[in-house]
Amino acid sequence: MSATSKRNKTYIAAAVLIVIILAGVGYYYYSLPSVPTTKDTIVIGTTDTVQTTLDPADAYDYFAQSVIMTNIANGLVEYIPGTTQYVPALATDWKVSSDGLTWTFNLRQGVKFADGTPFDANVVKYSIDREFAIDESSGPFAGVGIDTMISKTVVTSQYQVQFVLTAPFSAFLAIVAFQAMWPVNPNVAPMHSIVNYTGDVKTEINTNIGAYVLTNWQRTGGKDVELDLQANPNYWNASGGYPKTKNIIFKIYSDSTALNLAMQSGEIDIAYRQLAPSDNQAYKTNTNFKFWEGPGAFIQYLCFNENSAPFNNTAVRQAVAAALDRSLITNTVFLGQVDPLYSMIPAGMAYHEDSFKTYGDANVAQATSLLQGAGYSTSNPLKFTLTYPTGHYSSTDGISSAIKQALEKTGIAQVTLSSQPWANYKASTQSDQLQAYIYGWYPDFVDPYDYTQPFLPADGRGFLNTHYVNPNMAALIKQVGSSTDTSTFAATYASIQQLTATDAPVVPLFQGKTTAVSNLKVNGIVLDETIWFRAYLLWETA
Amino acid sequence: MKRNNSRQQPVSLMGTLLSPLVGKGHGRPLMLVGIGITLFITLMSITAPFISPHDPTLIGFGPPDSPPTAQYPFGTDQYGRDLLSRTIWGGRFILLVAVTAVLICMAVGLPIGLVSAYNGGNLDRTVALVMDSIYAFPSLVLAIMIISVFGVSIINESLAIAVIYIPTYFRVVRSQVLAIKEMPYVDAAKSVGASGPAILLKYILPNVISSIVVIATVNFADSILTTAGLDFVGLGLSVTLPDWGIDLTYGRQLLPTGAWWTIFFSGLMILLAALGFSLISEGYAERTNPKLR
Amino acid sequence: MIMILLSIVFIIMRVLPGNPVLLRFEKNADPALIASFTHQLGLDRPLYVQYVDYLWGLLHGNFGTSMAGDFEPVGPQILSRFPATLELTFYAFIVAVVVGVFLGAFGARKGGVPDEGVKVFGILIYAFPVFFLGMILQLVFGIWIHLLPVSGRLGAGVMPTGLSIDGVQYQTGIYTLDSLLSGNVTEFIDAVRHLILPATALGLVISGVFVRMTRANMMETMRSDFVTAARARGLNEKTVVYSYALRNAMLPIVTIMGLQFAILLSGAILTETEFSILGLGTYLIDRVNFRDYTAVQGTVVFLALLISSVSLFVDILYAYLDPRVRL
Repeated sequence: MSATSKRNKTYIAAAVLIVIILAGVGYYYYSLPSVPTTKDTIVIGTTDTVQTTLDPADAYDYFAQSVIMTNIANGLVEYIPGTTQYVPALATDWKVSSDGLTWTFNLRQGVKFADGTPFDANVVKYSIDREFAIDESSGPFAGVGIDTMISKTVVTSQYQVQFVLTAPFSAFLAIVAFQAMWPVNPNVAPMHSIVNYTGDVKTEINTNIGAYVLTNWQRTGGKDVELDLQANPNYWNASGGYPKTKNIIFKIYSDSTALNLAMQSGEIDIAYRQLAPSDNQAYKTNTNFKFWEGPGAFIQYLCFNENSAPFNNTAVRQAVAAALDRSLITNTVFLGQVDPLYSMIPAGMAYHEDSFKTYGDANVAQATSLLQGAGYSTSNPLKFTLTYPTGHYSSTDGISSAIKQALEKTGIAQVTLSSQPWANYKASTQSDQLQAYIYGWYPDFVDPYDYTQPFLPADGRGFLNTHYVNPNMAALIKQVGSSTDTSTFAATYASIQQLTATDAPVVPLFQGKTTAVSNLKVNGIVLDETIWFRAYLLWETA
Repeated sequence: MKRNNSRQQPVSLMGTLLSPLVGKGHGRPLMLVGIGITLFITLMSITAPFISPHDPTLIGFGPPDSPPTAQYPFGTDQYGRDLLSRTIWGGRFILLVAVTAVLICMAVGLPIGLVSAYNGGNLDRTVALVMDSIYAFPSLVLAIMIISVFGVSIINESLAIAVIYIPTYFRVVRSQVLAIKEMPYVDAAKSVGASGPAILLKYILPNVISSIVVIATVNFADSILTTAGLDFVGLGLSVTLPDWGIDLTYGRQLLPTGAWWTIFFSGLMILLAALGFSLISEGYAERTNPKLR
Repeated sequence: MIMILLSIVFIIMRVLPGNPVLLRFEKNADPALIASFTHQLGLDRPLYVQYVDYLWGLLHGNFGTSMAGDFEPVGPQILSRFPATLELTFYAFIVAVVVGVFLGAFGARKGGVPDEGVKVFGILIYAFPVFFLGMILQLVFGIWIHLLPVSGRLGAGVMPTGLSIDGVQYQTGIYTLDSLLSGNVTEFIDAVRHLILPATALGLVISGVFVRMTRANMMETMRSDFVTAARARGLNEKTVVYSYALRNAMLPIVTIMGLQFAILLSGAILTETEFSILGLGTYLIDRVNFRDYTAVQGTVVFLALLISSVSLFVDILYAYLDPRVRL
């Protein structure tokens, strides 16, 4: 045996030995339990991310407001979980003056922010004044129009504050419950600037008065990685036993597939937003997991641009409304996880009625006769482009395929499908380039008004730019907006919905259900119309 | 095998182009397999309306997410569409973009390369600098930028891919031209009064052709992969049309349940399409460039 | 090169139909609001003013502020996302070189059928869509066999740590490096496990180039004079192949490393998306969807700088390795 081959054998032996050692070490660490998920920590996975900041004067996305702020901040009023009923939070009681202009709130006493700063009427005034001082054009305060609603905030005593409105607004309590109105800690929130993400938790949150305190916020290049919450010892409802679990970790995943994998592998305890319909379907029947479902506040609907043909013709719009087959959307595209919707006001919300049921579903006969009445026939079919956005809502391709298929069953319609990325889509909507298009809606505040006025502005513009103008509709909407006499609302909202069905400027398609998946040990998930995610209600058995 | 020692004397265009196709030797099996695959895919895409068993866009056609069965040999996707039909139809867009991109490249890259290199001088150096910048930059980034600006359409995707690839044509053509430019027979032609364009066409172009074939086929393969890549990052054409890239991207949703058929067939077709052209390219290159054996 | 690319990007992104201003207004579209916002972003100034302004900022190391989200400065955002991409491409490159060179040398040495096999493998793997390969790996090793994690860089609750000096943590963002520096073995193992599948997917595809190149160079080198001389001197075949021929064949590989880096980056975008890694690739795509001009511009400029540096480095490396080139 030559010297070289002996040396080679040594090399080989050494290499094999090293590989075995490495494999052993690797396997040892691999078999160590991963994150210790004891009773005091619950890991929630999601694909959402905080868009801008967690500052009430700036945060205007679902995740920042309804998921994170709901747990680390608090408002004057909140909702009973599972309902849309108001209940005291940082305020104990309230009343409104007879002219509807002055709302008086008595505040809870002895509450402190996590750093010890006391909460009182001055804090409330500071917070609202700050909203005015900052009044970010893209923020929630201006976005919902609160800056034109409130005339001034008055401190009447240490624990009593008054909001004076510019005009009576029936849904003002919903506005008070809305996250933009939640108090901030004056010691952490400068009057004229937003509190940004800085990488240092102490300086980037200004609302630590809720059930939890944010102890860690990991974010890279505009996308969140992880948020850690810990029970707030100063929480006013701690005596009620809240929060039920000491630690909450929100882990962010880039897409539904990654989220799904994390859920399957046990890396997270709860998966909330957004799993694909087929994923949800699989979990519904999987006995190793719990599937949670609740009414949703998300709706999706079809819009028409009435500025030009063919949708300046009411009969054509009605024909489309009639031909629509919602079951194709709810069952084929969403596998039964959404409900068909027959009004722009969702089911479960006050005054909802199924006004679009006058058309029925897949009413090919009515649609055909309406189209023929408008002059269309097999030799002269109705042709238009249905545009849908990509990258914002889920399954828009399926929804538009469903609409196209249903319409073409009449035999005298030809629909061309076109997609645009969300950025272009919004611009195209504003510049009248679209004919028929799809949009969705999450409420800013939980009130039927927020499902009416935004879609049907008096001048026909707004974010949908439908060019629908009807003085009757405008009068009805104005009435429910300004009046505080709710006894008339049932009738007025009924008229609004019926008129919407008759004129069909927009056609409701479906209402999303809120869903979540968890392992078998998790309890306390509440999914309701407010779509607030209350982590402080969660607990997990050992 | 006929060997054309193209550096020594002028050759004919068609001769150079077609000679590697005949005769025995290295590279021929590769090339033929590549041609076979490519022909198969092209024929399938062209005859799709006739051979596809069902309408590929009908949602709710079959049960959603079902694995391959006798009724749906390739299974169904999340909306219940038949995947076999979608696979048959799915190559049209990708191939169309590839063909358009290659044509644009040749129509633009060839002349620029030839003329710029032949004339030389500062203009040539400037153009070369711009081309090198584009060449050295990650192609997908450029494509993403161009598509996101100009919108998604067949012509835009082809243009984006062409922009990325023209520098390659340019470089290869330019290096060949620079080498041939100084050859004695070119001088001879010049001295007899032959004009620039005539020299380009008669003497230089034929020598450049075989390199062009190699580049063009690689261009095809790259174009297919880039189009699929653009689909994957969300910049693909209307998502309801059958398209391998789109199917692959959306089929991914089913992965966590262990479903394989939603990604397998579309991914395989993309691979085959790119592979076919790559094989042709390799085979052809081997036969025309003795060094590669 | 940088100037050219920057100018191209600048002009292209300003031609956009969609715009970042409209995107901020999820629901409302009051024209006055839009106008004031456009003004705030500086988008209503003439193009050349914006261009010069941007260049001036660049020279001072300022990449501008993001137009979406909350006006975070773009430079730090890019720097916080870049380490993930760097880590991925680094390990992918190692995989590519190891697999490519080993297979190429193997094929060249054996000849015949294994050689043809290696050649075909090189072509096949390079034609593989990298995200498709990623999906297959995820399916097999993450789902069918629960062996490796299939997304992200770290598991839930595993916090990235860094080198601690005087109680302050310094993180590079490269988790495999940071965890070694801070001694956190759990984090290291976790990071490595998360890197295996994506680095393999990307590395395998790129290895195709190295396979063919090594093979071709090896075959040529093995026919050359000095190898014949080595054989004549009675050196054993393995030494000839690995000590002499391979080293010389590596040289041309170094030259294409710079180019391969650009290709790696393109592949990294797709790999990052597939494996949900928050790197520069996913950042670019996010920002493009938001029509965030400054962020996209910044990324392109950054990449151009990066590639130029890598090319320079490779040139220096080549000069060092090639005895024929003396500076």
